[in-house]
Amino acid sequence: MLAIYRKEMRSYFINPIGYIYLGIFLVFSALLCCYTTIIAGTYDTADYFIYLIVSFIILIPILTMRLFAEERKLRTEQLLLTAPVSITGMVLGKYFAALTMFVGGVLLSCINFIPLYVISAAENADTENVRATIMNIGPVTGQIVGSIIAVILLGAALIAVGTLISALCENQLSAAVITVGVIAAMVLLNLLNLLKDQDGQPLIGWYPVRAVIDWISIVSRFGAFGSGVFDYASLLYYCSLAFVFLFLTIRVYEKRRWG
Amino acid sequence: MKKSILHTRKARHVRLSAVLTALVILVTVLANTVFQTLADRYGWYSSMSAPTSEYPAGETSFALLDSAFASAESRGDNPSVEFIFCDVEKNVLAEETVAYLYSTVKSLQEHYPDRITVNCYDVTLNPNTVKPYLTSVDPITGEVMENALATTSVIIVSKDYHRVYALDEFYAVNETDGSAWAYNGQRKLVSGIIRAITPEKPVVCLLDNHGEAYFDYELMSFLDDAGYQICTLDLQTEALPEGCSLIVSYNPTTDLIADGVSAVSEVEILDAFLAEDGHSFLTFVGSASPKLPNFEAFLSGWGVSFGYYHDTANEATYRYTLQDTANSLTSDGYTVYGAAAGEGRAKELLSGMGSNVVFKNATVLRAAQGFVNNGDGSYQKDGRTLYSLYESNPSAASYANGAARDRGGMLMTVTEEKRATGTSYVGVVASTDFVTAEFVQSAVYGNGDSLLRLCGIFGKGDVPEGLRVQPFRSYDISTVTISQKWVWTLLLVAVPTVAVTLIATIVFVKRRRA
Repeated sequence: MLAIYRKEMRSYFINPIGYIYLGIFLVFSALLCCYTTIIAGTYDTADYFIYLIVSFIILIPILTMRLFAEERKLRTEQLLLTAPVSITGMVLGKYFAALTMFVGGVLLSCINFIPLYVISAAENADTENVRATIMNIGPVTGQIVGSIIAVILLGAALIAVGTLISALCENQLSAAVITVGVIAAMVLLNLLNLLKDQDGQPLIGWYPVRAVIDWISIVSRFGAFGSGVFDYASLLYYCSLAFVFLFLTIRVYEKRRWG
Repeated sequence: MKKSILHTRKARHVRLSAVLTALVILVTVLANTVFQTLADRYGWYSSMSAPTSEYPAGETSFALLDSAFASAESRGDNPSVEFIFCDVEKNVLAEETVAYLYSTVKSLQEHYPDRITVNCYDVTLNPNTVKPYLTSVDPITGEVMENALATTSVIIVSKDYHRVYALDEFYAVNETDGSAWAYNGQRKLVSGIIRAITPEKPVVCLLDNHGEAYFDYELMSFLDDAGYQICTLDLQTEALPEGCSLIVSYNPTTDLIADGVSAVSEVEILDAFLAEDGHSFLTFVGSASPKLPNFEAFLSGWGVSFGYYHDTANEATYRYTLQDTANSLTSDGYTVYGAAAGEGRAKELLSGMGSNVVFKNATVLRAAQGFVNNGDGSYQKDGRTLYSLYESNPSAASYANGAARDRGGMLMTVTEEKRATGTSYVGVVASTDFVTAEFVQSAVYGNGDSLLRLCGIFGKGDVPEGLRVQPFRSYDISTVTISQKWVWTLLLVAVPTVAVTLIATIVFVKRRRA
């Protein structure tokens, strides 16, 4: 698994794709963070993380589209399947390489919060600022940390989805398009519960259906983390989601190896 | 014999594979469902500091509760209080406004582990856990009332007492848009605990038959926090309820009925009420309040008269309005700071009180005729002593009919009548705006505390003084200019772009050369 992981990591950085992904991710997250916080005049980062999750609809396919589809394009898939490495090791190696890129991007994007802390420190130190004498001013670190953890977990699940689609598709473009569609559906699923009819009643009136949608929704699980609560049930949910899609990817390649 | 396609080795493998896949998915879903249920039940989550550490109980809360618990113990009680949150702990922590409250309650529990317990029940899944608290009995009327219970409600229980609090009771709300802007949980919780462990719950009657059409909600909220049971009273038609120790008349616009006018003399009822030990009367009169002869005659018996200007030219009388541009919150000079008593017993009565007590649209109080100045801010006649707790600053003037007519005067007074067996009090506040949310629900102004101090002077023990509202964390960036915002944005966009481009260029150049 380690050999595959190293090979994948190397390929990210000897090809432009790794730099393009990191560049787009960092610039996009910086613009998003500035637009939703500094320019909007608020320390509240909730909107930033919501928009960031929505941006994964585009960002994650960039990362995952090439995982297996590229092997087919380069006709190196047979080489991989006959290599002295288990299918599980191969899938996990590629998955963790993509995850490392993703986590690296998320962690590097944390520099976006530096201005918020610099500005709040200056506002709190200003003795003539009446607000500073009666209230706390600034971002809530617990909420930011919780949101980053949730973003990483959510990304881990979505990368697993992208990995499976890449394994199923013949070329990178179709893998990217299908991944965009599937991730969009997963991210926007929660909107179904927010839809209301003309009388302001939920469009999905039957509570069990709404409860199931809420339970399945990858975005609704984000809520507790965003409030600064580390939710172990949501941790298991995201890990399970990643596990199921990686398991399916392994099944696909098991079938391909012996088929 | 030819083998069916369903019985080939490949078909068996496909079947096995499909079953295995379905099984893995099923087990994963089941494991998640079970874990989620257990996590909700046993609270499998951790708080990452905020918001649960945002509003812990402070030293003032502990001092007030120490005193209340000590009083209960001295009565031979073993006071204990249970707090019930109506949702699982994870949801309580995830809902910011409930989490603030939870953090205060938890810090109180940590300080009083033998006295305070905290429980979280999922009232949606298991409504039986809170069934005993769905109704309450009105202690004054004896009527059974239904309690509105929501997942954000908080129930305080102590022995046979319980009270359901709605979440918004713990917050100061913006009057214009109804949004919460500050946390008021400490005072509400401390007053809730004191109320729960104190067997005597005195009654305050709010007069409602003299045009007191609007009782400011904040006034009622403060009287509730002081530990009173609140009821309204029509002095003409209703008897005083048992346990009534305080009567409040807020901005009366019609006069009291005096002796000989009707079968019922309201002045006589008030006199009889105040003749009993421990009874008090409190009124709020502002610059726009009408002149009420019987009411003012009643108050003058307690040493308080109002400043008026009589215009002989048109035979009109104008109530004074206090103006002090040098000590005013507003440029018009009508929202004045009161100067606290600086000497004598009046100073003692205000000991430990903060400053910044504000009187908006105030009128001017004077010592009534016959009350002799003792020279220490108090006036005396017969057994009654008038204390000026707050008065205007020297720069203030009394305005009437568009011109300054006189100096300033007293703004808040308390008259004490000491008898061999006990004491009665009459309090007068020279502003009806004194109890508006702007001033009592404030982190800056001391109006709320001075109101609670008045209740304390009237004999209501263990009032939650000194616990002002705590404004929410401010998320507003107010000091950064537009150009600074764009500099930050450019910096954040440029740094990663340049760094990534630079690294990529170095890598590709090196690879090409290699």
